[in-house]
Amino acid sequence: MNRKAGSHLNPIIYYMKGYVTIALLGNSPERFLNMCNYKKIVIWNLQNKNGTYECCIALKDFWEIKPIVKKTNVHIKVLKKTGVPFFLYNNRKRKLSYISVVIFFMCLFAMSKFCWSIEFEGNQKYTDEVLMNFVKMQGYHHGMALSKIECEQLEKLIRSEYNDINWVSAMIDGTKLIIKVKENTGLLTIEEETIRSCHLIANESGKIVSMITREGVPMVSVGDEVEKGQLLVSGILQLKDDSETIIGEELVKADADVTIERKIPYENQLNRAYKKRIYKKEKQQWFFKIFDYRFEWLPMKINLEQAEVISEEKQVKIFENFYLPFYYGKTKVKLYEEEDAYYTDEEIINKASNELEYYFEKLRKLGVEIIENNVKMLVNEKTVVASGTITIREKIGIQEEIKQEEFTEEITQEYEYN
Amino acid sequence: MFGRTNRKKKAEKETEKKGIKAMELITESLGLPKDTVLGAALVRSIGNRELYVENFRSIIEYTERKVRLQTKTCKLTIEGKCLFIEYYNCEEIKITGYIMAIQYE
Repeated sequence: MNRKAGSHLNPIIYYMKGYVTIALLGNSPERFLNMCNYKKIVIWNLQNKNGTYECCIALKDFWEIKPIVKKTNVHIKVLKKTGVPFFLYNNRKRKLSYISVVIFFMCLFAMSKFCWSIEFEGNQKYTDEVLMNFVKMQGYHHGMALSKIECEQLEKLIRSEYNDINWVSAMIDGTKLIIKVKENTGLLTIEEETIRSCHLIANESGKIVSMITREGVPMVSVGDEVEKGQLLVSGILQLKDDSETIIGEELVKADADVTIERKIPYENQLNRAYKKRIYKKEKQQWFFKIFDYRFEWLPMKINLEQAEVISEEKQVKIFENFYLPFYYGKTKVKLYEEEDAYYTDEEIINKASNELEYYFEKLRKLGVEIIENNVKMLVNEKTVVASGTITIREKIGIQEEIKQEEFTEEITQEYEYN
Repeated sequence: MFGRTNRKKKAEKETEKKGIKAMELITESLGLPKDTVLGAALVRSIGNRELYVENFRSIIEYTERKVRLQTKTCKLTIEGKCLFIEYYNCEEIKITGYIMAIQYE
């Protein structure tokens, strides 16, 4: 048995084409329905309301029922008109609004073909501004066509320019160009072996508190006072036989961890007088930017020399990555007046202590250990002076190439002795 | 005169019945689809809320409580409450509502 497919009415199609709801008044509405059926006119939503038949009929078919109406002597009353054709007819005087809607979508479509945002992810050492400047120099900028962006070429350019960047991925998502980078944060740097043999020389003066020699001959020991430029570890190894006779020499790269303790001077002078900012008004202003043109809502006439300006800008986006070249934001302007003020004793001492602490922090970052702090604060009427010495422990030792004369002279002396 | 006409009509009906029976026999024995060969109406119902009827000719009557359809072989009466014809075309008719009885006349 061939089961016929059900007559599925597609409401969207009927809405697009338009349909009417009619009432059938007369003696033989069934005859009308049967004649419509004979002429293959589709009727739906047929219901009997208090003796009156109401149904929906397509607009195209409505124009064809005139002979049927005449024949069956039925009176048709149009109750409702639904669909796009009726909508357009009712709004025929509003053509401009439709045109503008169409233009809007056309502009949106056109703008979706350009790149309006460039974003960097994964960068720590190189800031967004640095990478953006480089990318701009290579010809990639906001507003360029997406079809002109060559992601592979951009990846190669970034990799070749920045050696610290191990991996680069450039992709286009919507109207945004996303550049993901992975920097080499580890310490796995291959040192170029240019120096094969060298001495280890002191680059600071102090007292040795710890010494671990890995390569070379140590010329000093723990507890010795060394001067800047003094030889710490020699790169010349004397080769001796069983009878302790020097039979030869070998050049090595002297390597050792030498830690010294020394005192460094510290001096810092601060003025008690300063310019105090008294904030008066705070104004907020909204702005709107199209491409590079900025429009401000109620622009402020203020003296920006005595004002703090904080601007916050956001880019308009439709979806997550569909950015548009429109920006909006607000600018906060804090007006202030400067007047002369003086720090109190407590304030100035606190300030000097904070600066000293900041100095210590910088030293610690360089691997220096602070042992003793002998800095004293001297408070005067106009200034405060923090001076004294700081005892520190640090690693010293720089490599110095062995001179040819030094090596040759040693050998000559040995042969003479023999 | 009228007697001859009546007798003629009777004879015609009897012949028709015999013809229909013969067709039914042939259809059953050959396994042919009855809706196509005999023009039987196809009635499909989903519970007592929906009814699909195919292979019918026309609507005889339609009210909220009764729908009468003319098929090729008989008349089909659907009785119920709040009967609503969802769509109606040359192939199929869909009736929804509270269907209480389906009668073949």
